[in-house]
Amino acid sequence: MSSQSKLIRLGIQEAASKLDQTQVSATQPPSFTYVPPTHARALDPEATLIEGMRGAGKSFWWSLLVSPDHRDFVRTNYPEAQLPSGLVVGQGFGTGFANENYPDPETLSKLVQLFKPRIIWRAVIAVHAKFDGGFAELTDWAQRVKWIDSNPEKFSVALAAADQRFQSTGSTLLVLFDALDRLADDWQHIRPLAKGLLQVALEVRSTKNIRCKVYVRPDMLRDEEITSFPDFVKLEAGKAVLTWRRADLYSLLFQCLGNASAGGKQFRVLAEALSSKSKESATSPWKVPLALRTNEQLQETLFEKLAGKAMGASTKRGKPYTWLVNHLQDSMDQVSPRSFFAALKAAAVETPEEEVLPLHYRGIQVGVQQASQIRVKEIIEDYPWVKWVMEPLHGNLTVPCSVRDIEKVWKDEKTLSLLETKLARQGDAVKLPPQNLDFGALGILGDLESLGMLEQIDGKRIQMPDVYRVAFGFGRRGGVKPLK
Amino acid sequence: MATLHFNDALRMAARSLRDETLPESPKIRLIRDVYGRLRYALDCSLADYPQDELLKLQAAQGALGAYATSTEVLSHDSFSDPKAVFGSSDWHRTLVDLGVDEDGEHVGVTEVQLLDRQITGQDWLRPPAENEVPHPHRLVFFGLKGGVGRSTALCMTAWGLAQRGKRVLLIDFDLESPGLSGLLLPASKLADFGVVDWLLEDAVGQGDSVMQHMVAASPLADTTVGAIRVVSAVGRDEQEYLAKLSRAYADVPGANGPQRMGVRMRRLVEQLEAQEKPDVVLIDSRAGLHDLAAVSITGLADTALLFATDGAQSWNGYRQLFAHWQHRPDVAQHVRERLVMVRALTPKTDREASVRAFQRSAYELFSETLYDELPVDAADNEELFHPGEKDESAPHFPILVNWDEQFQEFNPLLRPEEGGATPAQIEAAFGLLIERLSNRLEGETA
Amino acid sequence: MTTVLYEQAARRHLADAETLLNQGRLANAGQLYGFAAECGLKAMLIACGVSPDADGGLPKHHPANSRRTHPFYKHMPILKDNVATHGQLIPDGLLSSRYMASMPNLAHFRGWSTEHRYWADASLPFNLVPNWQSAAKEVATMLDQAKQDGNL
Repeated sequence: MSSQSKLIRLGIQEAASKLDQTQVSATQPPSFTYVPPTHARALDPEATLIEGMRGAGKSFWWSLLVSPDHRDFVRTNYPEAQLPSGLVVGQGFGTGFANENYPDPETLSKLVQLFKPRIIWRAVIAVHAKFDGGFAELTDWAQRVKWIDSNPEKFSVALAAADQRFQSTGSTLLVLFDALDRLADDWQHIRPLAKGLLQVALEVRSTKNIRCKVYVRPDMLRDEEITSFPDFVKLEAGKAVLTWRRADLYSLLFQCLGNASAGGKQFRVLAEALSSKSKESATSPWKVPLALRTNEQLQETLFEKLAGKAMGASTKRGKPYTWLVNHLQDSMDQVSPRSFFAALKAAAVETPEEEVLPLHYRGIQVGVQQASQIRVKEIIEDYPWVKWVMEPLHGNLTVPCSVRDIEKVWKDEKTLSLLETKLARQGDAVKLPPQNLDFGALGILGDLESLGMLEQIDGKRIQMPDVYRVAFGFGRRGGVKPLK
Repeated sequence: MATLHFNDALRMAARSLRDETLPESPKIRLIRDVYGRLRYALDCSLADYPQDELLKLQAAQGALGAYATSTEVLSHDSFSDPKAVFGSSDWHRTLVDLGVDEDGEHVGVTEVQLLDRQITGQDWLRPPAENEVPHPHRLVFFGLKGGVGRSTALCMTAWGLAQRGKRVLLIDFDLESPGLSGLLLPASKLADFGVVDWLLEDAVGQGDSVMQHMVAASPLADTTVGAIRVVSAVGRDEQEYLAKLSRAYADVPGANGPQRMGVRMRRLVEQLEAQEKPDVVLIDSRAGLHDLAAVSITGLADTALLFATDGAQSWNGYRQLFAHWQHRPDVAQHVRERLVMVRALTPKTDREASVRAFQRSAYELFSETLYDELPVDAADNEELFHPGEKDESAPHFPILVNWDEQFQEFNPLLRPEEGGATPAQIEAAFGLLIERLSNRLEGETA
Repeated sequence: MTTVLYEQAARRHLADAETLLNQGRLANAGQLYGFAAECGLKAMLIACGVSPDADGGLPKHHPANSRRTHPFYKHMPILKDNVATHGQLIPDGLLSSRYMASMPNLAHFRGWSTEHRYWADASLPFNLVPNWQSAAKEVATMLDQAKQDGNL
């Protein structure tokens, strides 16, 4: 029994390592792919705006859709995604190596000084749509954008012609955009580019077979300067969100465990014992049975075989299936697969060898702590200002606390003015400052809220989810105080 | 000098204890009598206590005015058996908020050993002994007031558990509003005697004579694999209920001292369990803020279901009950894991927002009174108990009982054809409750 | 302070009874147990509202008929029986029944009498002394409880 546990423990670590990569590559087999229902909807070419938090899978899909093999895998194994065949996929912006398909941030910053953002993006579309004629001969982005700028009518005609071409071959052009936070070095410059991109994405919908897909983070969609153009509501109405519900996270876990080289076989036996029909067991790679993807009770029963029934001496301390996710949720109740797996990997490592079950609850507790530290690191990586505003609060407060308590600390420590100075001094190197620094403490709190780090309750108090609370040094207020 | 009132007295008495010239040991205790008046109590004889400090204590006690029982500071000399008095388990570590000083600055919270004499006694605040005899799970149903469907829920829970093959014993301790029998037994099927009869007979040493005539089988279980055995408050053809009721709460002489009501209730439950051998016991508790209700939760329940609706009255009421336990941390720690919030009459309209708001209010209530504070630097201390807001197995996380008009004046004994509820309707309104409780029972045996 | 103070007297009698018993002086120990119980009950009665006289002692005469002795102006064991049968003379009957409930073994004093102070050793029921002791201690415990309650 315990040798089986050892194997499954290894399997968990293997799965986590494989999933650590953002982008699909040769080393991540399609068998470790799981498509949650909301993601399936997001694959529809008609869904132009795709919202997802960090780690939800934006870049994952941005990479995957480009690969024909991976597209086939999705088409075969997730028919509900209704991914059409005859897709021609290109990348219009993102991370990764600079390539000829889109201008890198440096180029963009030069272009934007000469041309309007919308024109720049039209040029990108034109390249992917393979405009012929004079345009096709241009090799340099500056030239291309200039052509579009100088030839508005020709652009419309060429676009229509390209559309025709795609229609006649029965294919659809899909241009993907990701990593919008890399468009420039500060918000002031990102905003117009992002806005322009969304406008062009909307424009392109007037064709029949050319579509854009823009992957965006929630905080960017809250920025009014980016979204304030006519008809943004149309984009928003058709928006798909890459959500990971609890059931999806566990489905992904089971999918990976069932296909892991270590412990995969043992796990498949456990899983199939719970679901009645196992005709899918014959498929290769193994696919999680439908019942285990949708029925939370069954998922819980299966997870109990991995982690036991309780987070302590009795279930009153919580049950692992729910506890794990609850403690990783941010203030918008979102958990990224990366956090989930980071926690499980650490839990597997922490659980002693001789332990009967693959995961011991103490291991899970440690795992959650480590995952939360990773989460905090990620946030600070993306938004260094978060560190500067949170540090003075460390060790001083318990949540829920009043907005005033936080304001007081910031005032005493002169946090916000120090922040402004730092930002001014560091200039380009700072990445993204808070969007609403101008609105003072309340503005910063609003920014933190849109990052999922805290929640404002009835306008006066702040609550913080555990995943950030511990790492940022806040206690949790309780009625029974510790003995002195 | 301003008049001192009940609330102020304890605070003032506790403040005087902060005087650093008072000796470290014995630590000064406080006794609050049945009228709310206070006296300091020294766990030594007066001769062994420094005179100057004693005078200070006497002065402090005198300053309490009407809220000092007398001028006497109690000590070993005041009692014939001081060991029994000072060693009694009725003493509780109690937190007293010292209020604000003249500048409006919060003075702090102090801890004092308090013996709080109450009319109905408080043997119950004591957690059950380590080597307590194993017994079936006792589920207490409590509500602040009537009319929230608690009795119906209890009935339906009994039915749901019987459906799952359990042998269920129901006891109606809501003597002031006896209702259970009406829901579960046709008048002709009531047992000869009820709880109130046992209380009277037991007072004269004849409790055993009525034990076997107190239990009736409910026809509700006829279609199930299990059984529902009912102990009503009232026996069949009762004409003298009020006369009996007024005598039911008297203390009864016992070999080891008077038996308070709480002890007697437990004894009755134990004897019924021995006689009926149920898998689970459901208890309809006295409603409202009353120490008898509080004691049946702390001393009798393995699980106490707290029925609430979303309104200020509910939240304020529970806050009072919880604060009572909060001030006695040992009790709080024992009782909180046994509580489960139940939302009665959950509306169907505007449901998501309403459910979310209720959950949040419930979490806030528990976290502000009964959950441990998690200090900033605590690594996950296993001793501390503070479940997350969204944790479904947490005491605060409400089980939803849906409001359904047809259950308002409900006769569970009617067959569906006659206007009674169908299993599907019962499931829709009470399904979550029955499920959660079933799981909780299973969880125990796991 | 009044001349008569039943509580103090009760505790004093009990303490001395214990001393005597430890020294093997059963006869007078026995007497004092009875007086301890009597004084304890009388302290309780006053705590339950029976109005004492000016000297602090229980009234000698029946409130309704001054020719009759007050039923509570007695020694053990009659005192105990009278407390049970004349409950209507106790203003706070509920309180007194609570305290009485804590003393289930007062019946042990059935064999006790003030007359014993005149008797020969050989005639005295020494075998009853242990029971008187435990019953007297019950009374003392009741006094401790009443004291904590703030009723004494």
